[in-house]
Amino acid sequence: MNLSDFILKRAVMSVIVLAGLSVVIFVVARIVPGDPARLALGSTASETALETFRTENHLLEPLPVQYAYWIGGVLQGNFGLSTGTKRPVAKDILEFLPATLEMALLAALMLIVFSIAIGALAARRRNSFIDGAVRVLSYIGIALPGFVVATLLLLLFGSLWPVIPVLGRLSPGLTPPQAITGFYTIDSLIRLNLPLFWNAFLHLLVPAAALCLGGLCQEARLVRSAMIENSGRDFLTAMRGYGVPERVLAGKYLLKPSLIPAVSCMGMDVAALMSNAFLIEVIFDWPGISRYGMTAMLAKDLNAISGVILIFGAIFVIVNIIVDIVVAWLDPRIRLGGA
Amino acid sequence: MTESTPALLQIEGLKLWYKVYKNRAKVLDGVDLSVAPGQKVGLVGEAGCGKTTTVKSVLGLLPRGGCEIPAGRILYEGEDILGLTEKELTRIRNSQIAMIHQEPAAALNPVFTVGEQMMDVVRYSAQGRGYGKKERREIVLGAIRDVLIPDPERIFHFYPNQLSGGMKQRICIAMAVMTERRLLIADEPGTALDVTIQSQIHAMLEEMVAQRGMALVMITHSLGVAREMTDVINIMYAGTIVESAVSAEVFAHPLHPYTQGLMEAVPRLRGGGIQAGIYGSLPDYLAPPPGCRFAPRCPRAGDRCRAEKPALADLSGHRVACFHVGTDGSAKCQ
Repeated sequence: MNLSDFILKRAVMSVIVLAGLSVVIFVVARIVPGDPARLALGSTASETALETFRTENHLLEPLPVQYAYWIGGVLQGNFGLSTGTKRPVAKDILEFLPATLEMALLAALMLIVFSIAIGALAARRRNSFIDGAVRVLSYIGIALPGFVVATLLLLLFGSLWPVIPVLGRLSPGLTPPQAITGFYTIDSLIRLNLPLFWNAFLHLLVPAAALCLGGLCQEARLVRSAMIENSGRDFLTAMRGYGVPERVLAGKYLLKPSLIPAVSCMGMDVAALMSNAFLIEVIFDWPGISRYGMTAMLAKDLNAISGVILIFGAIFVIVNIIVDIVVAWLDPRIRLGGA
Repeated sequence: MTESTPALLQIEGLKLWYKVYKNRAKVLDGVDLSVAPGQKVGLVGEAGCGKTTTVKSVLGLLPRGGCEIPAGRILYEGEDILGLTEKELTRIRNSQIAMIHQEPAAALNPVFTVGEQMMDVVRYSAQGRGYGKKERREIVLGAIRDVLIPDPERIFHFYPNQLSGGMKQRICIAMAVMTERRLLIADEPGTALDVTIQSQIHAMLEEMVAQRGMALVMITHSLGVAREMTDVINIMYAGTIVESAVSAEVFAHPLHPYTQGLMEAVPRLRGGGIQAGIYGSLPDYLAPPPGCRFAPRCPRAGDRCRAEKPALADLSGHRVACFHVGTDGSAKCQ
């Protein structure tokens, strides 16, 4: 099987996964107790108004029919009206998702780059002071829950040592750049507004670092141990014996096979960044989709809940496809299905 | 080949200890080995006797810091390899000596295509330095064809796990001989394969070496293979060469008790069953016997054998390290 067949197979599978997810989300959202009409219109609404709301939103139809209405809308980008914000859910998602995505993407980038760099450095200087420090600190990083790390960082940079802004997406008084992608850093760069870019970037750093720390430590350890394990393998000794220089051995023949375990693990951690973002968003006052979703859940805002979960599900599936492709590229044994 | 030819590779009294926590596993205990240009030399001994350690030390492939060499010299064309820096060693590795590793499946990187790995071997060899990508590719494809694999273009894009064991072995041989080298070290090639493939591999290896005028160090635990393929046989036991002579001579007049035991252990077509062989096993390298390392297993061992290590004595070309062999090659009673 070549790589394109592999990608096609994965894409088809993920469509099936998403369809299943949409059914589950829909059913769960409908069977939780509470009357969505009452929640939307408030306790003072008249019985006729409630009836009208139920009829308009197809709440009196059988569940499969309701699902058909809903999924038909979703496929056209219409998640229905949010009963909380009184706006289309799609519009809310477009507004709040970029803030979370921007933070999660930077966190993912930091996770990938630093875990490989730190792991490789520790493996190369095995048993040195640096290696020892990496091993001990990474354990602490894995053991500490994200919200503790976030709170400590908030305390450090928000009060004790305010060298870097930690609250919100921009300093108070600054106007966000006109939305093109919704990412403040990218939008401000497009407008060539460098001071604004720098401000937005600094605001991103600490939340992103808090978000990725656990995964980063875990993957750094995996890269380190895989590199140490592979460095004694015959295939490296053989290549060394043919006079292939050390930098090629380390940067190519040792690195690639050593990334496989870490990349599989990274896939799960990167996908989980979105859901872990919730606490980070609360702590750093980040106006993101996770906070929006949590508000929707507390208010039983059914359309918003379904929309947010479906978006999260789609992102999770996409990240997983990407990871599968990367792993298949790294390890031919996977896409070739073994000997 | 005669003794007077200047040696290409000359190992003299090589001792090598592996670091095992605070202890030392004294694996090599004075190895003497000589290879003349174009000569085919066999290194025979049981598993764990230090054959692979010996040849890996020649290419500097043992883990630095994991072992120490308290005594001995490895001369390549008169130059002591042990004193070379990693960079100088690279020059020996990329132009003078090539090694075929024991396990072809482990010696090929599973996540790169065969072609890509071979291309890099050519690229970083002394010969391939001036070559462009196209020339390198020609060399690689030619080398795959030379080891009798049809359709080299297809194999070029294969990953190692898509090849059979025999094909992997052929690729490993191709890798070692595709650019110019003067000495080929083959560490038990074909051992993991069935006998018919194994003999094909051996025949091919002989042809390759003959065509290129390379010298060969052939490691094997099979006396039969050594007899077929080599000019000189060195019998190794527990980190020392115990007997060394022209192949036919070793078979006609084995002098060392260990060699004699090995010969007896070979089953013969004429029948009569397998003889007693050699009782016991290799010594503990952490605390090796102080005298002759074979003494604990030797039927003829005396007090002197247990206390003193016999040197490799030259009996007109047939060299043996045993107190019980007289200057005329006869067995002595002590």
